[in-house]
Amino acid sequence: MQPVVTIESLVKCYGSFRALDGLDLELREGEVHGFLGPNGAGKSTTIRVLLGLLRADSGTVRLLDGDPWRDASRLHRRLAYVPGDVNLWPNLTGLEAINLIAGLRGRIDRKRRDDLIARFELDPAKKGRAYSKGNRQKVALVAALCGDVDLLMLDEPTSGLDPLMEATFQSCVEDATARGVSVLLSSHILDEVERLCDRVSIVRAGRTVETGTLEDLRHLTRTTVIAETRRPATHIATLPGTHRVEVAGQRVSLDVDAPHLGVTIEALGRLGIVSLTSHPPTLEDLFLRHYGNDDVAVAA
Amino acid sequence: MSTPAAVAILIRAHWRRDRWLLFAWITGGCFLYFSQAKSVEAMYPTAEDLEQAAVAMSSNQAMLAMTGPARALDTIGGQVAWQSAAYGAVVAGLMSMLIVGRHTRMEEETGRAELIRAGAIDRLAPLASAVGLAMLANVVLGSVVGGGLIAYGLPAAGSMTLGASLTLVGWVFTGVAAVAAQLSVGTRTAYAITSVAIGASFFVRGLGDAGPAAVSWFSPIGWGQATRPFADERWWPLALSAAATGGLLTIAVWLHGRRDYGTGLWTLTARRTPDTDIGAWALAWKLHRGTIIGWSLGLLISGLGYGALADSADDVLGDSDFTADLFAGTTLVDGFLSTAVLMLALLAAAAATVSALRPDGEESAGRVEHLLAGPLHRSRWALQHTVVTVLGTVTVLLSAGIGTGIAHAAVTTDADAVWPPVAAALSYLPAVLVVTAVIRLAHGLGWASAVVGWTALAWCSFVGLFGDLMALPSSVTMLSPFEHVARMPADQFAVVPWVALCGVALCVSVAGQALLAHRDLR
Repeated sequence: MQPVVTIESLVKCYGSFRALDGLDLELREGEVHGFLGPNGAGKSTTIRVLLGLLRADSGTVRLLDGDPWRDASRLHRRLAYVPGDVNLWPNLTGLEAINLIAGLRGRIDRKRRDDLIARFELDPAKKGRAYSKGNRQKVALVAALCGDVDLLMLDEPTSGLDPLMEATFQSCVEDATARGVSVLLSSHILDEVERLCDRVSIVRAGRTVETGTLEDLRHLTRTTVIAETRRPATHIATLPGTHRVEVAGQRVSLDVDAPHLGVTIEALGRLGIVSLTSHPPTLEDLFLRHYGNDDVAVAA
Repeated sequence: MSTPAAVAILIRAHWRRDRWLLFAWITGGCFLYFSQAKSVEAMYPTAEDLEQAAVAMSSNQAMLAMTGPARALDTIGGQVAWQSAAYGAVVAGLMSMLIVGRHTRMEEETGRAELIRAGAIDRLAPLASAVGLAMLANVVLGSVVGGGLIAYGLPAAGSMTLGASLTLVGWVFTGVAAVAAQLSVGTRTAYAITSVAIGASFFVRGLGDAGPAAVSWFSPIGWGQATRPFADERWWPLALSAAATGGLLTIAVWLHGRRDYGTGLWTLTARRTPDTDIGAWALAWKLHRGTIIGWSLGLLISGLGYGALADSADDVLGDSDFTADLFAGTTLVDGFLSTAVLMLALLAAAAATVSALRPDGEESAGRVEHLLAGPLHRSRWALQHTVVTVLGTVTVLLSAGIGTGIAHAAVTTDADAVWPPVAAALSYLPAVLVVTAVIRLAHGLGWASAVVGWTALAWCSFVGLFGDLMALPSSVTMLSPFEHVARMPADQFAVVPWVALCGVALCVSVAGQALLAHRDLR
């Protein structure tokens, strides 16, 4: 099956600054793809290249069945976009803005639109200048979600939404994927990504540093193990693949690289396990491991 | 933090943002005065020349309406005051309007003022600092004009009075701008209110100076001129301006205290909006219509004023050499109309500039993404704005021409007199379009098109209004498209330059469009 978005070694420079420095991304049909990275990592730049607003300096970019720069207006009939910082026309009402943005793509499904307005509890009669940040965001979300598109590009779409609306957003995205829509979701809200995304790509300084399903990423990384043993696990740190070992009396806590987990547990077993808890790394752990200043590489 | 300390910090921050803007306005304002001193001296080398001109000028109601009351016109100082004070007042007014608007209503509209107001400062500090900077700028403007004219060699008392009256008029419009900033939610509306006040002040004093003198006392610009610089100066009219400034600022503070942050006196009322489809064309029209309608009305009224005065140019002056020089036309009436239409066309070009800068504004505000993330092609988007700008330019020019023509026809009771000013106004269409095309080119290149556009327009205005007086070389003046248009109705319509300018506008515009299609959006 042809991917919806294929990006290979994408480079975009602003003067001498390389905003994108060989970024790769693949969005498969029907999937929700999480696009993670710290501020300034190049997420928005990538999305703006995909929208044909910026021109790639080098690398290949393929969007749906065309070139995002050359075929922009044809491709845009099949996608919708929500920016992270929505600016509206001060003298247009929310409804007018929605009708404008959605109407450009084709006929508006008024039933779906009104349903979304109700779900997001948006007052569409206000002028653009009177909306708060969260409400401007809702206007853009309704305009994007009410169309019949193949691809949603969401750039931190829930910034400014309250937790209730956050949940509404998630269920709206689930509805969209049930219709077969592919979603590229750039987000800092890791719960949201864990709940919605099939696969994630983590970018840093304009490069993709990790990509795969959450399970893949977890398997590739360390598991945290906390155990209480009859005899103190004083020599456990000498085993290969163990990190951050802390021994306090009979209690030991450590991180173990996935390939060495079995050997480590066996070693603990020989010491006589009293209690054992282990948990896979949370997305937050993965995230922090990539962005934290400790440059401990993820075990491969 | 104490209020004066906070205001001082804010004024420093405003200064940091505005220094070039202030430099440009103050330099421009000073130039207005000095260019008059220079040109009067050049045009009338002997006292006899000047005296002869003074007699002619002081009885020409049309000129009185466009400048001010005739006093001491046989002196260079009197000439400078007469020809510059009213326009200087407009410059000071617009400068004050921009400074106050930028730092009060615009800051609230964009939400930046929240950051400031959340600080440990008095609620009034942002208003006070904006007003303070505007008043300071007017003091500097008045001082430089006054001091400069003394340095030029004009009498000190007159120069000082002229400078002080300029400062005080600027203060009054600072007060108007401060009140306007409290009334509306939008910055543009606040600017529109102040602009109308400035325009009305100019118009009212024109009526008074050409007709019953008492009428001029209803205009702040009239108060400034009532100080009689270089003609037996009197200072007490300045007290009127000071009192009006105090009154207006008091009203502004009172209104400020009665409204919530981010709201105006005219609050937005939520109402059901009709659920109609709105396309990109409708949006383009909605974005431009305020500019087009407002400027059309303004120029219609200005045209009515000029048209009403045109006929009197003939009655009063007869055929002296001087006026033939001044208006360089076949008949004085036609000469006057030609100059009036040129000024109106330059104002129409200002409207067209505002309109042509819209796409750049939409891009900078990040609103164009919504449209271009849809299937709207960016060339098509730019073209829509261009079409609205062109049609809007035609409308504004037509309004100016019709206003002038109708009033002229009414005064002369000759129905056919409607058409020459209309044709004259429309003859400037390609020149105005060249200015808008240059803006499109700058936008296509990703340059600061606002700077390019306003600089180009300022240059065209300078050359159009002062080029002959300053005897600028034709290689320089010919850079302005307005210089290639025949000065109708005094001169015959010239087809070739008209068509050529249309061609230039089209080519530059197409180049801008092509460049826009190939660059990154901001």
